[in-house]
Amino acid sequence: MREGTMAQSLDRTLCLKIYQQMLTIRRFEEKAIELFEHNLIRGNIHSCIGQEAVSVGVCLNLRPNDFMVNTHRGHGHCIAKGADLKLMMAELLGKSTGYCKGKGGSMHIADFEAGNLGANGIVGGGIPIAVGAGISIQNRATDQVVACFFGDGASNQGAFHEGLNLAAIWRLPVIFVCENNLYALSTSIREAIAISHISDRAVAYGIPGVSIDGNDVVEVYLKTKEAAERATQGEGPTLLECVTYRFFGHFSGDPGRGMTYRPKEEMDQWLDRCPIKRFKERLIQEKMMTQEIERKIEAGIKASIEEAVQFAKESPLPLPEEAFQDLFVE
Amino acid sequence: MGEEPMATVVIMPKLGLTMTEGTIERWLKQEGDHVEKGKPLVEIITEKINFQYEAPASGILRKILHHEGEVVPVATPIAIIAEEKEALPEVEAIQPEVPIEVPMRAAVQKEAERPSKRIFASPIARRMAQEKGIDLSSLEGSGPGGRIIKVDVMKAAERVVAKEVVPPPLMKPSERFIPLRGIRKIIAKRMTESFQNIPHFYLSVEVDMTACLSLQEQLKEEIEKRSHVRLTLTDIFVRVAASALKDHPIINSRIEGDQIHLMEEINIGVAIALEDGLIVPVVHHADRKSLTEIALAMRDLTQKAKEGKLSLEDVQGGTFTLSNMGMLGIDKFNPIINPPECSILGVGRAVEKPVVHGGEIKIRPMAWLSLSSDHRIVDGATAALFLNHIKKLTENPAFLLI
Repeated sequence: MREGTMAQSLDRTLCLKIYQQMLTIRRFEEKAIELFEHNLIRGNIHSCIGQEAVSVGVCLNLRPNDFMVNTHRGHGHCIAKGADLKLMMAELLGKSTGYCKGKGGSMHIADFEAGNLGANGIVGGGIPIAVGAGISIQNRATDQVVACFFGDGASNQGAFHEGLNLAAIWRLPVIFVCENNLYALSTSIREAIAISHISDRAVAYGIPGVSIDGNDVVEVYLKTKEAAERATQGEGPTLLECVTYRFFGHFSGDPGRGMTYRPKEEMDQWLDRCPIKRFKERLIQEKMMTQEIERKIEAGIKASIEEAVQFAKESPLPLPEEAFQDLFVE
Repeated sequence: MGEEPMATVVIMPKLGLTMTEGTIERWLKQEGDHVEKGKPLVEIITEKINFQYEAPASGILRKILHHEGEVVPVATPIAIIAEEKEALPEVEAIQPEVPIEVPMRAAVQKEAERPSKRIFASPIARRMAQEKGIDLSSLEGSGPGGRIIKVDVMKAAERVVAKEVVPPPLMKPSERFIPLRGIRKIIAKRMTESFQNIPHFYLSVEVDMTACLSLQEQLKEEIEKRSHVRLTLTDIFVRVAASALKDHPIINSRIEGDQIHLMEEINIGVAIALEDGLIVPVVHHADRKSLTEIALAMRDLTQKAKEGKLSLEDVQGGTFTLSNMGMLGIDKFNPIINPPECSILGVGRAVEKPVVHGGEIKIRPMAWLSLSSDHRIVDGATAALFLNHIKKLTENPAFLLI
């Protein structure tokens, strides 16, 4: 979306919702890092600060009964798919009131009722699951779609090839969203692939592939919309490469917040292209948001995150005797 | 802006899954300075990295609770940021939030969450105690209900002063003290652990460096031309050690409980001296690397070490260590094992000496190689075989091609 104003393509209510959601993700992640630093979170967390536009731009195209499969860097996807912050925070703190009763933690938030089929700690592990959900939709002949998030690292996994190929030959309603944040842990994408765009790989499967600015939430929204329409009309999957950047390290234990392997100038350039900052500037410029509304949104988010933290802190831990519960369908 | 100003307590941040404590290396701001949210506030050293931690809020750095050089457990309050005239929370009242512990039973957990013994003291007593550096928990209160009051602190302060006037024996004013901290402290801890817990034994052998030096001479130019990197003797020794370890897997091992774990990968750590201490970056899969690849890896690691940019990966996973002190003019030394490894090889300088060769006295460049080993894993005979293998490869580097 490089020409024309946003007003032509998106209405104001939607724009404010986009802004509110991106900011919620940012503030949630900041709080999660703070809680980790306070030693209140067991296990590592993978912050998606900097990548909010992808989560929001994609998920706002999903209806509650559409499916979503995501990754270890998954808090943003969950929030954008409509997760309850209280239950998420409780899960992060390992409390029994969390989405997985505190036994999954940050990397395994799932909410089947909201169509969230779960995050996955295995790189590329979500792709076959998304394809399976696509087969289910086809067999049940509904008009649902699946959004499948994965990273640049996952695109070099065998599961990527197998999954995209199956989805292509069976024309499954899956939107493959590659969040290319340029680094697979510390390996630069330049050292990992010999092509310029991961989306070029779509050619090999006979499906459309597009590379877009993953920090432009409007572009992500509109391109996902096209892919979702294709999917519901039985035209099969799309590979959407959203180029973005994470402002923190790979995970909470990444020495120097991931700056041992990334140049500072690169980080500075991306900080300038912060998806939230850019969108906010456009909203103000196009007179869709006043400072007062902005303050209200910020205050509302702050209150709901504080409520979530309090809920999580006050919730009980799971008991040792519950360790083996919920492992199998009874 | 409608928001209530609220003091923010800065804590020792947990910066990784296994971090339990951190050292305050340097405060980048002083008490009374204005600090800005997101801007570096304090330099923290963990076992793994040196990190500039940012201020969690904007305001005035009103109080520093832990000073440079102190080692502090994670989540412990280390400073307070607040507005200029805002009342500060009492230091004793700031409790680190109770970290998540695995509960044994709900009741047990309740017990654990209770804050430690509460001290009752008047605000003025608290302030005085803090100024004079007196530990309130060591005092008995004479106020109502055992409350510590001003007089109690004053009495305690007199006792402290009385103690202080006695000059400490044999203390010359010119003597200097350097706090053990950062990388120095880690070296101190790890080396003590190694030397106390691992039964070391030492073997030495003198090797003829003629072939090795001529190999370096022959390859240097070509490698420099092709890959723009200088081949060093250390690089050759990394290759030699990796090759020898392949034939002696027992040396490439570590003790784990009641077992000896033979490590699958051959990863050679190389000791590099920095200004503030020693660091051992690792050449991973050294047995599968060519001399050029080793030279490139070593150049890369040395540069990163000097810039303090080594990643966790760069310093982890070593299975054997090499320490070359030849360039420092050392003939022979017994290095301390780098735990949890089994052995470490010390390389001395090559120096021309008269040696008897085929019944004649010849001048040859000779160097001492010393191997320190963990006697729990290997005995003298096993280690001798390994060291002799290294000698054979050093004197006949053509064997590296087999």
